[in-house]
Order: sequence, then C-alpha cells, then structure tokens
Amino acid sequence: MPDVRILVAITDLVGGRTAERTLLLPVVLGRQDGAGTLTLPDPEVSRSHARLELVEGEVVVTDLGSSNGTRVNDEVVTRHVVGPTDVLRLGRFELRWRAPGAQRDAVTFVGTAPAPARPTVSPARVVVATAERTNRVQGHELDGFLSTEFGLLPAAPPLLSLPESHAAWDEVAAELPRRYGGLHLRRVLENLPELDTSPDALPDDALYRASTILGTFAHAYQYLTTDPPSALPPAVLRPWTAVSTRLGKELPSMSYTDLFLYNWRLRDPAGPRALDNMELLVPNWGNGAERIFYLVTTEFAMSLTPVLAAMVDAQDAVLREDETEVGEALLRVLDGLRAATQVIYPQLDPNPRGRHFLDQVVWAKTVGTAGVPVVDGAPSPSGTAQPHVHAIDAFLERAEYGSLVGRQSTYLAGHFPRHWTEFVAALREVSVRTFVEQRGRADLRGLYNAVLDAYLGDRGWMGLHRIKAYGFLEVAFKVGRQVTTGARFTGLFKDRTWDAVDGELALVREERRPPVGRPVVFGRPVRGRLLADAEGGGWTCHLQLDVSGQGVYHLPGDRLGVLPENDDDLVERTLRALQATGDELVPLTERWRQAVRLRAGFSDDVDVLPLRTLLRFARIRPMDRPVAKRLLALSASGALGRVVDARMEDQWELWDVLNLLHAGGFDVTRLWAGHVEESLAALVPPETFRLYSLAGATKPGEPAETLSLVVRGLGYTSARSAFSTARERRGTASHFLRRMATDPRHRNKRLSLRIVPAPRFRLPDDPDTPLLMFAAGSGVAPFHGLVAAREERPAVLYVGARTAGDLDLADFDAAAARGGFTLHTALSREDATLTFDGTAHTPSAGTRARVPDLIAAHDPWDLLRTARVYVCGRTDFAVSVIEALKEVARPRTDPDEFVRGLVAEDRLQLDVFTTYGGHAQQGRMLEVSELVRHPATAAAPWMAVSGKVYDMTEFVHLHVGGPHIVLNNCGLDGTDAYQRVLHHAHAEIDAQLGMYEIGTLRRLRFGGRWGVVPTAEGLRFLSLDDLFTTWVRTIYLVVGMQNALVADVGFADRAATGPDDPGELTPYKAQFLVEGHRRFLVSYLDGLLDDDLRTLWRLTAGYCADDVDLRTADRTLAALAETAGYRQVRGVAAHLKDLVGQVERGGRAPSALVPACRLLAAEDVRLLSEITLALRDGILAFEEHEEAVREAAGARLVAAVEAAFTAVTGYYARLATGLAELGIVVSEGLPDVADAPVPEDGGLPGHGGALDR
Amino acid sequence: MLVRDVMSAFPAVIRTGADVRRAAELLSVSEVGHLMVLDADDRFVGQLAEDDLIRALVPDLDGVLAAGATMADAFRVFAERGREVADRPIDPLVRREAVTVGPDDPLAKVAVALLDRGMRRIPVVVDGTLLGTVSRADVCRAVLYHA
Repeated sequence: MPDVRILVAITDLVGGRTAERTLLLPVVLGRQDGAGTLTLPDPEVSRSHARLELVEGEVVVTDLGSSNGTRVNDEVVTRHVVGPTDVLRLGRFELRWRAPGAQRDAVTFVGTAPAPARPTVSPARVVVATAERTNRVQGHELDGFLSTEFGLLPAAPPLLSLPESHAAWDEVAAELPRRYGGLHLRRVLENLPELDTSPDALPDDALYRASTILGTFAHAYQYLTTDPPSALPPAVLRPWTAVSTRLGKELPSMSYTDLFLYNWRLRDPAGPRALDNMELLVPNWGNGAERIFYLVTTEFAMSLTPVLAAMVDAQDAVLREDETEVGEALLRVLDGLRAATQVIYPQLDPNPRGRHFLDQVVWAKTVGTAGVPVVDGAPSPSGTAQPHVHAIDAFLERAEYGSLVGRQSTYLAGHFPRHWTEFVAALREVSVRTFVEQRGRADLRGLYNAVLDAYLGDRGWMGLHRIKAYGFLEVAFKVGRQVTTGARFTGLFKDRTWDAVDGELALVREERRPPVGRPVVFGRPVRGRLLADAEGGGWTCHLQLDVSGQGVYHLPGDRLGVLPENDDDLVERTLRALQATGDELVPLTERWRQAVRLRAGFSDDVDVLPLRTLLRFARIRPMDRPVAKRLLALSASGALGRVVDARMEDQWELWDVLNLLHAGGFDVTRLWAGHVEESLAALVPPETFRLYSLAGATKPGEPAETLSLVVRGLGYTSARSAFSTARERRGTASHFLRRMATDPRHRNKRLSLRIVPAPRFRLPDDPDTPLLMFAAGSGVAPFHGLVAAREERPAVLYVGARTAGDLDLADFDAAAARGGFTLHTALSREDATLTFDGTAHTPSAGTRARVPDLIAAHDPWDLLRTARVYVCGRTDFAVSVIEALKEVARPRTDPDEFVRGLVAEDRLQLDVFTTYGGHAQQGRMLEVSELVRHPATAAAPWMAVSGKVYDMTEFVHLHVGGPHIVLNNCGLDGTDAYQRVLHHAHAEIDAQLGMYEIGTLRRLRFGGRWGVVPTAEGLRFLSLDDLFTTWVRTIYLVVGMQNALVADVGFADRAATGPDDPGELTPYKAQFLVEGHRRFLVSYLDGLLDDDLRTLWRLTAGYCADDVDLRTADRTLAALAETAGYRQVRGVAAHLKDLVGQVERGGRAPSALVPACRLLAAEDVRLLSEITLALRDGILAFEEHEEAVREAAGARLVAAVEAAFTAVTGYYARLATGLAELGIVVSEGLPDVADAPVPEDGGLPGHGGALDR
Repeated sequence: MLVRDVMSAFPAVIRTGADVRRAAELLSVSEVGHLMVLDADDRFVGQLAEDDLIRALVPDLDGVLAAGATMADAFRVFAERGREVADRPIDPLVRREAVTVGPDDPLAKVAVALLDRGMRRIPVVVDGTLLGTVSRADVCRAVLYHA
C-alpha cells in the first residue's frame, strides 16, 4: 500500500479549539493511545471508534462498532465516503480533512500509485457495528443480541421485573418452585389474570423477560405431571402467543434465548457474568440440576464472545492480507475455544462431591424435558439452536447440513433474529481457510488445524460434547420420562436407543471441513542424550525435536503423539517370515492411505507401498487381538486358535505368528501375493500415534521451537507358557525414539507428531495454589514443563528414579534457584539423595528409597490440604502414591473420602501410563458368576472391559462423567459403552482404568459341543458356546436393568424441587415412581419375559433335556396372566395415576399413595435381583462343568430358568398382597399397563425437539 | 467357454406324480443332490432337492408341540414322518420356478448364479426341454482341472 497522508483539522466542540494534524492512512480514530491511532480524549468516543482509509481514491470512514456512533454531516453512518467538505463527528470532536500542501479538494499521494481498491473491513464487522448501533438507537435488542463486548448475549443485563401492571406474572414466576412438590402449580397458573400484551401496556424492552416467564409458565403447566394436560389455560396461552408473535415467532415457543441467553441475573451487578455470580432469572423447579445446566450453558456462550471477536479480526486481517494478524487472531480463536471447552464446559459436573454438582437423574426427570416444545411443530431450544455454533461453523466454512442433526440445525437457524442471521451470513463471505491454504505458511496451517481440532476433535468441543451427551443420554433414556422417551422408547430396554442418538451426533461432526493439508507436525531430532542404567541394560533417553515455524502451541502437561516406525531388524524378520524380498508392491486400503499421508515424504495420492515400507509403518509388535483373529480366520490354525482363546496373542509378534502358521502348512505368501482382501494392508493396521508427556514449556502465546521428551526404554521377555515362548521383546515407540536421538543417520529424519491436549493435567488458574507433584521414571517428563512455567510459588516435586544419573536436573536447578521449588528424590538403586546447594542439586549420602516411603516420612498434610496434586508414572506407581496419600490423611480424616474430595475439587491430576504388565494367564481368573454379584448396588461394583475385570469402587468417584454411567455398566460387560466413548483409543484413560484391574474373565472350554434346539423357525443347530453366550447376554441384560432401575427409583430421595425436603416423597416425585413402575413392566419385564427368558428357556430345555415339555414356560406365563394378582398389578399404575390426578386437582393426597409407590419401587428392584440370582445358578453350572454341562448339569440349567419364571410369579402375588394390605384395590375395568396409550414422542432429552424434524 | 461344452447331458430325472420313496431311491443311486423333474409330456417342470426331502421330515415348532412338545418327541416324529411321507407324491416338494440356463450361455454366468443363489446344480433348458445340467463340479473340472 502506498503512504497516503491527509491534513485533518480537529475541533473540540467543548473547548472550541481547533488543531491540525497530518495523518498517515489508514488510521484508527479512538480514545486509546497507540501507533496508527488518532487519540480523541472523550468518554463518548470508543477506544477504537472508527477507521479512516483510502478506498478507490476516496477517503472512507468505517465505524468499528463504537458505542455512540460515527456521524457524517450529523447522519449516523457505518461506512461512508468523506469528502473534503464533509464534517465528521465523533463524540465532542469534529474533523475536516484536506490534502497537505494542496488545494482543499484534492488528495495527493505520497509514494506510489494507490493499490486497487479492496475492502479492509469484513462484512461481519459491519454487521456487528450496525447491530450495536441499531440496538442502541432502538433502546431494545429485539433484532438479536450482537455486540463486540457481549457477543451474542444481551448487552443490557436481563430485566429484573416487568412493568407494575404485569407484577402478577413476576409474582407467580417467583414462586414456581414452591408449587411443584404438592402439584398445585396448574391451579395457580389457571387463575392468573389475563394481562394486556399490547405494545402500550408491555413495552418492547420488557418483551424478552415476558417471553421467558410465559414460556416457563407454559412448559411448567405442560410437564408438571408425567401425563400432559389436554391444553394450556387461556391465561397462559393467549399472552404467550401474543408475546411470541411480537418476537417474530410463528408459534408460541421457548427459544434458546428464553431458556438460556436471557435467563440469568447477576448476584453482584458489578461482578462478572460467571457461574458463581449468577442466578437463574426464572427458576422453574429451583433444583441444582436446573441452575447448573442452564447457567453453565449460558456462561459457556458468554465465554465464546472473544472467539467471535477474534473470528472477525481474522477476517479483517485476511482482507488486509496481514499474515501476522491472521495468525494472532487465529491464536485468540484457539485460546478462546480451549478456555470455553476446558474450563467453562466441565463445570457441568456430574460428580456428587463437585462444587457444581449436576445430578443426571434429576436432570433427566426435570430439566431434560423442559425444552420439548409444547405446541406441535414449534422449534425447540436445543443445542443446535445455539447461535455460536452457527457462527463458528460459518467461519470454518461447514458446507454440509444433510444429517438429521444438521437438518434440525438449519431449521432452527431459520428462526434466528435478524442480526444473527446477518452475522452468520456475513461470516461466510471471507474465507480464512483459502487464505491459509494459499499462503503456504506451515505455522498458519498448523494454527488453523489446531482451531479445527479444538472445535471438532475428539478432545475438542464437539468431541467432549459427544462424550458428555452420551452419558446424559444413557441416563436419560434409562430413567427418563415418558414425555421425552415415548415413541422412541416404547421399544425395549435392550434396544439401546441412546446409541442411535449418539451415532447421529457423530455424523454431524463429519459434516465439517477437514484440516488444511495434513493434520500433522513434522519434527527433526536435534539433540539426544542416552542415560544407560548401571545394571540391567535399561535406559532413559532425553530427546529434543525441532518443530520451528509450524505454529505448534502447547501448554505444560500436554502430550505429544509420536508416529513410530519399526526397526530394520524387525522388518527383515517379518519379510523372511513372509518369504518376501520387500520390493513387492502392496495396494493400500483407505485406512492405510489416510495413515501414509501423515508420513513425511509421501504425497496424498499414494495407493501402493513396497512391502518393506509397509512393514516399517505397520503395527506388527506386539500382536493386536483383531489382527490375530483375522489371521485365525484366514488360516484356521489350531495353534493360533489356542493362543487367541487364552488371550495370549500379545506375547507374540507378527513374524513369529507367521512362522507358527507356516509350520502348520499355511501359505504365508498369500498375504502379499494373493487376493487383495487377504493382503497385509487389509490385515495389519498402520501404527498410531503413541503418547509421551511433553517435557518443557514455551512462553504463553508463543509457538514452540523445540519439543522435549523423556523416554524410558521398554524391553521385556515374553512368557514361556503353553501359549507362547520366551523371547526378548522391545517397545516399538521407545526404541524408535532412541534411534532417532542417538543415530546420526537420522539427523534429517522428519518425525510425524501431533499435540494432544491434556486439559486435566494443568497448572492451576490461581498461581498461589501450591503444587504437590509425584513422578517416577519417565513420569518426570511433564514436570519439567510445569515447573519451568511456574512462578516463584510453593511447589514440591517427589521424583523416583533408579539413580541420580537418570535425571536431567537443569530445569529443577533453575526453579530451585528462583525460589519456592523443592525437589525430593527417592533413588531405588543408589544409596544417595540430592540436595540443593544454592545453584544445583548435588548427590549426597542417603539411603535407597521409593516415593511412597518419602511421603510417609515427610507427612505432607499441610500441603496436601490446599495443593493441587499431580501424579505421573505407571499405573502401579500411581496406585502406590494414592495409597501413601491416604495414609497421610488417615489420622486426620476418612482417607477414601479425602481422595474423592481431591478429585471433586479438581485437585488430583493424573497422567498415568501402562507399560508391559504381564499376560492374560497371570493373575486372578474371575468368573461371570462373580462379576454379576457386583452390580451398581454392591459394596464393590465391578465392570468387565475387553475380558478384564475392574473394581470400580473408587473409580466411581473419580470418573469425570459421573458415577451413573459407570454404575450402569457394573456387574456386566461394559466394553460397548466404553468403546462408544472412545476410551479404549485414549491410552491415558485406558491406563487410569488399569489402576483398578483385579483380574481376567476366564474363558470356558466347550470343546466344539453342539446340540439341536427348537426355535420359531423350527429345529436348529446350536453350539454349546452359543448357548452359553445367550445365557451371559441374558444375565447381563437383567443386571443392566437392575442398575438402571435403582438409579431411576433413587429419584425419590433427590432434591427435585427447590424448597422441599429431599427425603420427603412429594406427590410430584411419587408420580415418577408410578411412571417408573409402568415403564418397568412395559419396557423391562414384558420384553424380558416374552422374548429373552422365553428364548433362553427354549434353547436350554431343547439342548439339555429330551423329556421336558417345551410349552412349560408359555403355560407358566399364561397361567400367571389369569391370576387376579396379575391384573391388580397390571392395573395399579393407572389407578395410582388417578390418585395423583386427584391431588393435582386440589384433593388431599390419599395416605396409601406414598407407601404404594415405595412398595412398587422396592418390589421391582427385588424381582430383578431374584432373576439375576436364579440365572446365576445356571452360569455356575456352565463354569463348573464346561463342555460336560449337558450331561452333568442339564437339569440344573433348566431349573435355573424355571426359577426365574417362579420369581416372576412370586413377584405378582407378593405385590398384589402388599397393595391389598395398603387398601389399594384396582377396579377390574382399568386397562392393562401395556395397553395404556403412550403420548407421541416429543423429542430428545436435553435436545428439545425430535431429531427428524 | 459355453455351457454346452461342460454340461452333463444325462441328468437324473423323475416325473411328477412319482412318490417320495422313489425319489429317495434315485437320489441314493445317482449320488446327486438334485433330481430334474419332468411332466408326463417330458417337459421340464423344476427340481427336487434332497434338502427339501429332509426338511419335509424335520418337524416345525408347531409339529413338535403337537407331538408332545419334548425334544424326544421331536426326534421320534422325525422317524415316524419317514413312513408317512414315503408314499406321498413328490409334487409339493418340487421347486418349480427354477433358475435355468441355455446351452449357449457363457460359463461365467453360470458360475455367478451357482454362487450367488447358493445352488449346486443348474438345469440347461431350451423351450421347456431339458438338455442337461451344469453343476459346481462341472464348472470346477472344466475351468480348473485343465488350467
């Protein structure tokens, strides 16, 4: 751009003085000081008020979203040409310009000719500026909240009261929570006076408050009882319709604004808009779940305001072609997204000990339903209505909206107010992505991809949302209300409806744009130091990688993913085992093509690799279970079959498995010479990123030049056993990094890297919080960064190492010299300790010790009470440190509670990793019959994942997603749920679970036994293996039902409505027990009996006994249905609902209502536990006799299923007697519970509307 | 390669109206899994598969329940049904809408049909006249044996 100067006369209208200044264009006019700014000292002038620039040879002024507007000749303008005769006014200043040293009407150019004109203010900024001004001039924000300072939230805090004429609404709104417990609410709302909603009576600025209040009234009226009323009362519906119409809604509905953006007030009006300083504007139930859910959602939206501002900055910078500013703005977007998702969003805390506890069960029964529209066809305030998502999607150029959620998104955006629609549209007009793509700068690309990852990645906003939503959905579908789970959940318990919803959420993520270029950072090894152990051949390697110029931003505690390569020796061995030369070309599968893109030196279109290269990049050590199973399927090798059955495949590597197969006659050359579906690329997965904690810190806001790692060598000997042979094995990644660090041949090698954020291993926000850190071995790595980034405040690090020589002390010497930092070392192979002499830590005499010994000796209680505690090391180390900390707490308080409290306060941060930890034939073998005795209600709940069993007693309290989702999966195999949320793919989570491993599920041997069984399709072949699987599935299903039911009836003892005593079973809560019982019969028990238990009976009786009448089960059930007790129990839900209805209409609660509800809940739970017990005896018979079970215990198996039916018969009889004793007699005319109508499905919990709108 | 090059020209045939016992004899003697069924005018009608013969003997669920409802009853019924079924005509067991090929169809077409439809043998038919059959074994022999 050429230098353009103009001479400006500035008149201060207050003082009357005029001064002249020469200005270099472009120039910002504003109150602030700074380069490129003309400072106008007046409080009426915003800090950056307007910009003057040259566009197509004319001087143009652009308002930058000023508070008081920019005027040209007394007209308010957004963007306007200013001629030499025009008068520009900002606050008390008037400005006129002329060209320096020339006539008044000409511009002269100093420098070269003007560049071709291009706008330098993005359309989005213009929209924001316009919106700010219109809202200010109009005196209300009905066209949509939009401002630089408050983003998409109201600039003026929500009104605390309506005009005096509408005080009746305010008064009733204030007492809603009190009207729930006794079910009085509807009568109060019916008796409201009908108030005038015309603009004269209810001014524009009061509309939002009126809308929130009336919407809350309508939804409260609708959802007070589990069965909805037939219509809203006129006193609510009429004004709600009128107010909705004035707000531009086609139908009366609760918008995202009503429910979240305008539903808050500040406790301290001068304080921040943050959770701790906010209350709900119109509380409905007045429970904690409501407050936390709404306010955190609101604060989350507020916290995105800087992201919106930075997006607009980035677009401006793109128009100015200012690469530096694009980078800085993207960094602000990144920081803002990370802060919102990692600090604000986790405040939705399902941990009962947490400061902001959000009870998922209470949520599901109350808040989760609130958004479901009352009026058919009205839009819902679901997450897809959140305007920020639309803005960010527009900025990141999402093009697809074809999925269910995507279509709902588009539909809801159609109801946006004007400013939001314009803002989202304007954000689509400037492509930051194209700019980043075309500039070819690796650092910008890295930043842009980091932004995408922070928004869409597994650990970004959408990834976290999906995991969190999964937890809420599972709980909500299991304990939810009829209104939200009607049509979709008239299905059976086992249908796992929430999985389908979760699948939809996963699809939406795919509709966003992929990263620019390859989502990977390349690092060159620059420095390596190998520290060999004095004995035993172990080693530790300190390694630095050069990543300069690639826009790598990380925080202390973050992890680095490294994509390793196999060494030549392993590749050669595998080639020999394959009888190949290595030059054979292998066609790549899609998965492999994606993986090869991440390697340096490969282009995007590689579709074949030489076999040697493929093996270098493949995961071939140790053997993966899926690979072993695929090889088994190809080869049908008995030897490999035995290995897989024993879960011992991890004691093998690909090459020795190939040798095993070859010895058995399998043609190994098939894997590279044969059919493409059998080729190695289809068989063996590419290596994935292996995680290491980053050792080192960068200055805040600055990209990393180098990344440091501390790598501990992994070597072990595989087991000499019936299923494997003893061989020296090596860790793939550790040995790869060692080669990179020490072998000069690799100087110019470019390693594929990826930063993996660790939001739960961070320095505290408050720098005065002391740190108490524990590390062992290479677990010391993240503390290099934490300590280096730490100011001179109390911090204590305990490090366990073999010898002093294992440690790299530079960072710790520096920190100790700065002050505040103390290092305690526990050396296990050296009689020494390290002491700080003022400049460095030096060895002195001491005794061998381990970290837990030092903890016991130092008794760091005072520190422990206030410090943030960090543990990094192997799982066994983490367990030993936590045990030692419990011992410190024990004399003072309950040690278990203490640790749970640490977690709830976010003061315990774990970075745990596993290394080789033995094999599946070691350790305790556990049986399914033991597992099912440890459901949610057990003192020690257990869970099985991928064949291993974990004691979840403590983990329940540590789980970030709250206890419910863990407990739901206890006493059974939780692998599905675990893998759904990708926990298995996240090594750090997997390792944490490893802290609680107690054994391996034993695999029974059935020796290929089979039988013939009757099915609906006639007689069929059934292997004994499959029969056992059916048994296990059935008992897991019953245990899962029991877990869900216990959570469901637990609602009876929760604080559901503000002022009521949580222990009191109010009529409001009692109706949920009635509804729960209805659902128990229809969704749980009927399905179980008609389908699962009936099938189990037929298969078992058919397989085991030639002489048993196969109709027995049907006859038992038919006879049951004829009993009077059965009809009583089946009709009682309708009967009790009638009683609830009487209360609701103003009658007194009958004394039997509460005890009857309690009785139903108790008997329902009891039945499931009796069925479990009955089936468990069958499982025991399988475990005792295995392949001989038919001959040895056939009758016992049949008896076990019969016992389950007997339990059901007993349940109906007992319940009928119990109800009769309470004086409850159900008239014969009431419909069977299964025939009662179920209302139309209104939508999804937490999501508002139905998905398929 | 065409169908006519590899087909077996003398398939095992049976006529409609024959009884099940006769079909069982033919199946056992000819060692094929399918009999070609012709009508009284020597027109091709369909096929009779040994699977269908066996299936006719295995009781369905209602049959089991009617016979006494234990597995022992189910196994007894199987044997009894043999006596009962043997004298009945084969006609209800004949698969009439059979997939057929012509002699000039390419062999590859036959191979795909054999695999996709799970068939073991396809009749070669022109204008209602049975010329022969092509079996999986015929295809293997023709294509692989001399390869």
